[in-house]
Amino acid sequence: MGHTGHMDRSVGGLTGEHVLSVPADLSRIASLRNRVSDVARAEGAEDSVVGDLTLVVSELATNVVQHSDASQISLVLRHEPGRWVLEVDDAGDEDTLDPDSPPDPEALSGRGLFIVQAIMDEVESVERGGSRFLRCIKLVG
Amino acid sequence: MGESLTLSCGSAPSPVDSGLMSEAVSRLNVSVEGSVVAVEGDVDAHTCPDLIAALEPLPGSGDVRVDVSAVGFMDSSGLRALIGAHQNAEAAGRRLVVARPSSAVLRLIEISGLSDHLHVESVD
Repeated sequence: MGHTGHMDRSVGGLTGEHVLSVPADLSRIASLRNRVSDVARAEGAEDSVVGDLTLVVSELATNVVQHSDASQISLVLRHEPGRWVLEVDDAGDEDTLDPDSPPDPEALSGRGLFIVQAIMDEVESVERGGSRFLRCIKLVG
Repeated sequence: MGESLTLSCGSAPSPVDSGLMSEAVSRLNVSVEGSVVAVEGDVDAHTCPDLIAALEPLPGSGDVRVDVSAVGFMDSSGLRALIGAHQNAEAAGRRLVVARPSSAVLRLIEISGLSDHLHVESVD
């Protein structure tokens, strides 16, 4: 699979689900933010919600680049009735995944995590099919 | 006459991106005149080194005013730059003032609980 930075491949049967992926490079996070704000606006989100989602995405994407060895930042943005769901692939080393081990203590440390948790109504680490991702939910309307 | 310095951060799209006109790379312009540091664009982990570089010498004298009216986006990377410069200013017996904060900057400072910590000029 080539790294062409292609964006917004909608997958699955879920209405309004957007899968966004960019190479894990700090310089690419702006394009991810722009795409997220485009999607949110297109789905009618208020300016404040657009701003909040964009900020959270920037924090989470930065964390992937700075604290994981992932080559891609992959996220799913989904507008469900009354809420926005954001899922960011942690893309850690699947082979060494130990369900009993604590999460990387360096992950989302400091202000980045605080901001994400202050803005989003729910933040949880989820394991699915051998990989971990962070699911964040913002309640709207 | 104060020194004037302009720093620009932003890289041109790589050839592989040439077909993706909607792709945008973080762009930040920081200009310094006297003790006013004017910031324009997006402050994130990619662009914040230029902001840090502009603030590090605590330009001018007295209050260092960081005009963020033209900042469309800032995340915690930018916040760390401001906090670091704020601490440097205090150590030097000066103040860092976050001047003319845009709504994005205000939101970030408020959500981070730093409204009373940083010197934030109220928006007229």
